Amino acid sequence: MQAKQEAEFQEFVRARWSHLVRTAYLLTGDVHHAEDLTQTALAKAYRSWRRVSRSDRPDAYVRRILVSCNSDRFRKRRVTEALTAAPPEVAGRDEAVSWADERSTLLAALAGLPPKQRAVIVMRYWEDLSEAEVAETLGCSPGTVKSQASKALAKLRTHPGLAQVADEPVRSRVSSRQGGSK
Amino acid sequence: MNEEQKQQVTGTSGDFEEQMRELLAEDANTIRPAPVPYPAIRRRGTIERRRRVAAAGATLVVLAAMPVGAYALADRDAGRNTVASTPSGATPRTSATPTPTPSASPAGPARPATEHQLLDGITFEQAVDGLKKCLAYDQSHTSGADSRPDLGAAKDYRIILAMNSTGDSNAPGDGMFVVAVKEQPRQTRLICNIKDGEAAGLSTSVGSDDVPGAGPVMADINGGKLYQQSILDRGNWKLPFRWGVIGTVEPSVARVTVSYGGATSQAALDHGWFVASGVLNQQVTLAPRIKGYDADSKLVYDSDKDKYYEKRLP
Repeated sequence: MQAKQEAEFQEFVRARWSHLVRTAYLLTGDVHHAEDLTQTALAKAYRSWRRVSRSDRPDAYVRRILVSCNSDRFRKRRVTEALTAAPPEVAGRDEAVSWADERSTLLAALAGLPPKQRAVIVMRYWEDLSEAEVAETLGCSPGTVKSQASKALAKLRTHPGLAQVADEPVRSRVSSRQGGSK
Repeated sequence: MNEEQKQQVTGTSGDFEEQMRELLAEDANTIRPAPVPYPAIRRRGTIERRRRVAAAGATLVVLAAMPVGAYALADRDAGRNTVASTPSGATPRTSATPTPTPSASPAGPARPATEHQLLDGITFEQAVDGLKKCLAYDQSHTSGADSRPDLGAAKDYRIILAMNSTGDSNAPGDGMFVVAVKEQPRQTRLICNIKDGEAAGLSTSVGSDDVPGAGPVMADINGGKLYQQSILDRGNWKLPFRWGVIGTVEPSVARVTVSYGGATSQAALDHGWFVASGVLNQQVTLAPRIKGYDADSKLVYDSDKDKYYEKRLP
């Protein structure tokens, strides 16, 4: 790879790493899996970086690889892993866990969704992608995205923990909205 | 519960979607990803690229060598990978990372499976020298009446790891660790510590550590000195801290990852051993978490679920 492309790739990775790991965390429910998955996706992007960097949206390309790698992970495993819904422990960090119950509930609820529905929820409501963009990421039609989202939300609404959360007023908090039209 | 009551409980569709956004953002922002492991990403990407190029090249070679009449057979098999011997750079028993390195000459210890097991600028020659010094030290302090096993000569060993060692209150002074293993006449593992060019310590493990019912991955139970500092320095480690984790794997294991201090490293697999390393920039309380995967990427071992594995540091 030419030095210029190498530098571009490095800059891309450093800028996007944290966000991609967070997306992968929401897809997998486990921070270790998330980092593994993100490394895998970025390694695949490196392989094709000459082509990726020429596209208008390298972000979208890498996101597609991330989702695809996660799907492969589900397809290949024969034994169901216990996806932890508990917040991961991060060594050396002293942070008050003020909404631990709701966080565990959300991850547990997401873990109960089929992989595709979970991916749709994460892409729509964390990555803030439009239905068309989600369709492109998952390699399906916008109609499928719409129906998968509808099924996923219906299932999440009936989750006992989330129904309780839905009763409480929306708190102001840091959110990570990404660019992209709806 | 009727529809009206459900609406009252869950709010409008738009409200619930907005709350999903908020909750997802909260969850995502609770984690602090480890520093970006750019060298590991680049290394894996290079392997991926070489694998693809090698597969393409080997396919061309295979097709070029086939007689004309066999083309129909090749086409039919194309979807099932006609490449019989794609050089992948890794097999389940050896390195899962970069291209394996050749063994040393018969006169010296064998080299590690990958050059990335020689860390911190330590050369193979320096590691060999360290190993020889430790064995010489052991020989000079062994009497005829001593029941300790003869550790043999350096040439009998394979060096699987060489890295910086960090001094602590129990053993002051920085230096170098050299980890070497051999299988005959008995499985032996040495962790040799060199300081100021002299042997400063030698940890020896002779015989298998296999425990009945243990999994396909087993961390070296006496390898703690490679990844933690003295208990006397608890809460006050000298940083940055180079750590290493070693252990054994069954042939069915194709990949091992080690997560420590918020970062995940992919281990090298070396003739039945796994070797991982990294650098800590903060104090930790949890032991490294080790995971093993088979060739189908199925998780076959998780140290968090291993009753024999101590998950917290002392």
